Amino acid sequence: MDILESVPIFVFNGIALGMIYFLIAIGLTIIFGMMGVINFAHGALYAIGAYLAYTTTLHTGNFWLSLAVAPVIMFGVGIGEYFLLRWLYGVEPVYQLLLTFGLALIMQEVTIIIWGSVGKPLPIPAIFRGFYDFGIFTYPKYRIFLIVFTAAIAFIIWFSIMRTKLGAMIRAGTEDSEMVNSVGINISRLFTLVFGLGASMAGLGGVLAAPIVGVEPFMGMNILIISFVVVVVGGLGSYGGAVLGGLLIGIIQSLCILFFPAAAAVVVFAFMAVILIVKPEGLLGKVEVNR
Amino acid sequence: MAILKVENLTKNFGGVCAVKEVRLEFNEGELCSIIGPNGAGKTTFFKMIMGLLHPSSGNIFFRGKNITHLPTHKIAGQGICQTFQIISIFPNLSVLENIRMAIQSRSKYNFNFFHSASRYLELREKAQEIVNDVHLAGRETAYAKTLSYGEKRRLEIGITVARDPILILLDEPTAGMSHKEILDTIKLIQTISARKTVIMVEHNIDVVFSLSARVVVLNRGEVISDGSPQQIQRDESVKRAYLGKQNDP
Amino acid sequence: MSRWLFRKFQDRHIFILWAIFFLALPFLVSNRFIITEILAYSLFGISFNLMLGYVGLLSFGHALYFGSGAYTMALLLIHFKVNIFLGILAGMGTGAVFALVVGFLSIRQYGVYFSMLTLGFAEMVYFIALKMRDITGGENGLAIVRPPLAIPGLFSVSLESPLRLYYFVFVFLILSLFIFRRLVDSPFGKVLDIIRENESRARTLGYNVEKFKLIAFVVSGVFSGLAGTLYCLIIKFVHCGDLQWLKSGEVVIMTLIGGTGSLYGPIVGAIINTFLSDFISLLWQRWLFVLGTIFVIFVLYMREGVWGEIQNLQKKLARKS
Repeated sequence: MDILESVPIFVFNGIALGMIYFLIAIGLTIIFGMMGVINFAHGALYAIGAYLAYTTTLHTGNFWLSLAVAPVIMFGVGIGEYFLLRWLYGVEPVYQLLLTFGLALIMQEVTIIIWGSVGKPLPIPAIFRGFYDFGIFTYPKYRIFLIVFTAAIAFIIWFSIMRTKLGAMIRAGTEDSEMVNSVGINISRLFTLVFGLGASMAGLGGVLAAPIVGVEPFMGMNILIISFVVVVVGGLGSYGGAVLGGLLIGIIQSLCILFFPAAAAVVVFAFMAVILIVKPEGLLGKVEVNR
Repeated sequence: MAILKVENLTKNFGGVCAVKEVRLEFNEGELCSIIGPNGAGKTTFFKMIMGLLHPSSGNIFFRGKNITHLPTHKIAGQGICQTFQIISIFPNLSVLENIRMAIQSRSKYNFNFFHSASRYLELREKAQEIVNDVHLAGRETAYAKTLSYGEKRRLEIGITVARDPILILLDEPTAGMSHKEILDTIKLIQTISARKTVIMVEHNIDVVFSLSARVVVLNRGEVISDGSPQQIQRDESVKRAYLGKQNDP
Repeated sequence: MSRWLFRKFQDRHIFILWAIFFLALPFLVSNRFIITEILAYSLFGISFNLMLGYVGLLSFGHALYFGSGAYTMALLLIHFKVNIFLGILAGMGTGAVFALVVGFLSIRQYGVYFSMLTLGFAEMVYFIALKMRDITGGENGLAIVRPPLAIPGLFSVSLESPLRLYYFVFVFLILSLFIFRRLVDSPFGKVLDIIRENESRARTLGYNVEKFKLIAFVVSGVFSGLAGTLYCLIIKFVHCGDLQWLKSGEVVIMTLIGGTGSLYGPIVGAIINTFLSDFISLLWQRWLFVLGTIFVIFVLYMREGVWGEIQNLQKKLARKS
């Protein structure tokens, strides 16, 4: 198969990758938009989700259970992390960043303590093994499921943010959290909820990604760094930015692996540098008013 | 000679127009007050002059030079300095240090890496003069954050004056002050405005009337009146602007 | 003895005390290897802290300057058998160049973006270095032969003796510390202070804040490069991990635990960090867990770090007398 025939496959790979990035980026970007905190532990939340998928599948033989279990547990972990962050209320923001980094390190070490430092494979669930034939090319069933499922989640999130009262509060909180507080909404409960949801999205991303990328201790930090690129490119605080950034970075990475495998790592960061010079607030981000 | 000229200055925030096509000229040596109801665009106006906000359109000329899109530090370098509604000083530095840094900014020593800053006596001496001028003598070594509110305001004025600017912008210099403090501040402003141009945003009408030769009234981003304090007092549109706010549903 | 505790210590005295401490250290501790490591890490921490403690910017990719300094020395030694002083100079130069590029692209960004960017750029170079396995040795790294302390034509002294190596590195630490002391106290250093205190006020006073931040960043890069160069000479080895986020994270943790408020805090942090990594790791492989937990506790309760708390205590005692 010549290289051009592979393009659709790699584009779809990029979309699948981008959807995973979206799941992590959406939590990261909304948490930042609302609370001004960049959660360095977000990658670790993804990793623990993946490990939970591994353990659940190992003990129950049922991968689908982990789709329910992991996000719930990660919601709890997210709330726990939020309460620790609350301790630092009123302290300069740099310490919140440092705290999330410290937690990320601890979480990474905990996964090694519990599961060992060697990566573990996770088999693709039986229903989605094999390929689907599109005629021009065949594509792994699991990845199709991943794209469709995550698209559905993305739609649910979009709908919730745009059409529900809770979503309106979240949007308002992203614009001006003090204002939200003064109109009587319990901002602290809102933050807790958002943090928890962001964490469960990351955990969900981990579950979905696990059968494809496997489970290993450094997966958290590795994806976090790319997620930073995604949110910077898409624009911090923007839902659309998380989608656009995720897909863009995913596809760029994937196509780069196809055409310039040696440059794959660089291209993503170079792209980020370009965006920063040309449009520093990100593609869909709001312009920073203060200099 | 117009020292500051503002042409069709406009600032939009999303759907809200904070400053609408403002056209103003200020002459050298003037002490002019800008007044207006809340939300009139006064602070936004100042921010654009100081380069802290980008205008949506329009131009600002200072001594003939177009400063509209210059970065803040360059605008300061042209000779404009501002005090802020919310006091902006260096809390963990001493009073003397605060002012010394304002003086150092105009010196040639800023990129000196190896000599102790305290070596440069002339900076210290000038700083001490200004400390005395703003009536903070005796408080030189106190940390700025330990100062009383009135003292902090004086310190901020001291920092501004230390820059020896040509144009001074004062954003609500008497906000939150007691009656006595206000009287002292009026005297201080009179002293510092001696050979400078001063534009002042104020809410306190007594302060405005005792200091200004000219008053500009802003309402909803537009200039609705511009003249001597007496003229403004008699202007119907000004009364309506202030009273109108009270009658709004 | 108690009279000493109650004095008002001047910075000059503290500097001298630390110098004496490090001079005497090889005779108090038998493991000369570890204490030499501490010297290099102290330097790394001090240069890193110029950005965090003095300018107020958290760089999360400082391993880039450290690792590139180390690699510069290693590669020059392996391919050109370069003179030790030239190697050190080159390592510092590499740190400067990388810091200039990254700084130029990152410094005008709002605080949090800055941290993410510095991390991103460091990771980019890490991945490139990993890919260029033929040159860098990838994760397996490169081993070097420690060159002699020499000026061609004048003298050549071997640095294989641990004691000699220790004092060689010591000289660089003390010289660097001396330079940093002057820098921090200079007019330039005072500008960094006010940028940290109130950046917008610094701007309205006419200071070109970006320029000052960039210069500080390059200085930080130079001395981090120096630290990396020395580190490579000490352990006779360099690998891509020296460029990675874990190394960047280590210096952040170490500096916070030691104390960001002064030049000496990072030294305490380096001592604690090296102790943990070299001793705890013998008992339990997961020493990073211990480090991480200690770090989190410090972020929550003791943000001024060990040295900061010591300074506070000493000031309190001095006031009472």
